[in-house]
Amino acid sequence: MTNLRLVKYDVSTAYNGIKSFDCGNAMINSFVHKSLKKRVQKHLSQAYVLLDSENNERFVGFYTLDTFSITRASFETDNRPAGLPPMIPVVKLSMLGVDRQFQGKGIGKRLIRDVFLKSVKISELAGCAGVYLLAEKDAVTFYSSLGFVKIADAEPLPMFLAIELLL
Amino acid sequence: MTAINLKDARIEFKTSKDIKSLLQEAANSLGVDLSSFLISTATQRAKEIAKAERVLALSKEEWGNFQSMLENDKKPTKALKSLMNMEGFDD
Repeated sequence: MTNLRLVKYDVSTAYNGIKSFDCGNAMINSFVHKSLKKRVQKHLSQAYVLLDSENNERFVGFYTLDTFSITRASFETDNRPAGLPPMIPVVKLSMLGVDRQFQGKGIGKRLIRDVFLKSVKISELAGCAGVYLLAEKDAVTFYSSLGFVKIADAEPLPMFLAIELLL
Repeated sequence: MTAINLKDARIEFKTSKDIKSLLQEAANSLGVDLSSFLISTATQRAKEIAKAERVLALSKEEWGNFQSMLENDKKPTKALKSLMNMEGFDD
């Protein structure tokens, strides 16, 4: 079994193999190649990167977390004559990708396990009601099996897992 | 002149005749020129995208379902339990 290290993304590091990273999804590849560094630099996202210790610390996977809020549409003012619509703070799993050569080995699942562990820590340090993500069609069954539920109708599908399930 | 009206950048791009005439007709029906139409439409969409990056606004019904889901007792699924028992990564 290869030794994979998961570390917090460091904006000053030029990761080996990051430019040729290919997870098979053009949008995610383009995010890694063009946007990842900027988003972390600006503190818009935090990223965690998976490095192959046995192959020059090659970049083989990653995920990003964002702070996010779920709110009620503000134009519905009934029963709330005063104040703002309620906002629920959550963690958003924005991007996740594993290089093609490493797919089919359960690495994505282990990354999601790590997302859950980090979400619990976040909920201990600040308010966080759960994990939010937008699921592509072919991933909905998988996320549902973990307990994620659909919270709105859209494509990709907005899904949510309550933090209690992870405590 | 305010900073908002300052035009100090340029966008140029190619498209097909069909799409250009579709866009031009839409601009005409609003009585604005093509550039203004494209900029205002794209700016509006960009703002929506920027907002959706941080906030999801639920309808009244969706919000109600979300609230009851938060309040109900929850049990982890088998798949979640076995995922949580998977091996972690090295630091």
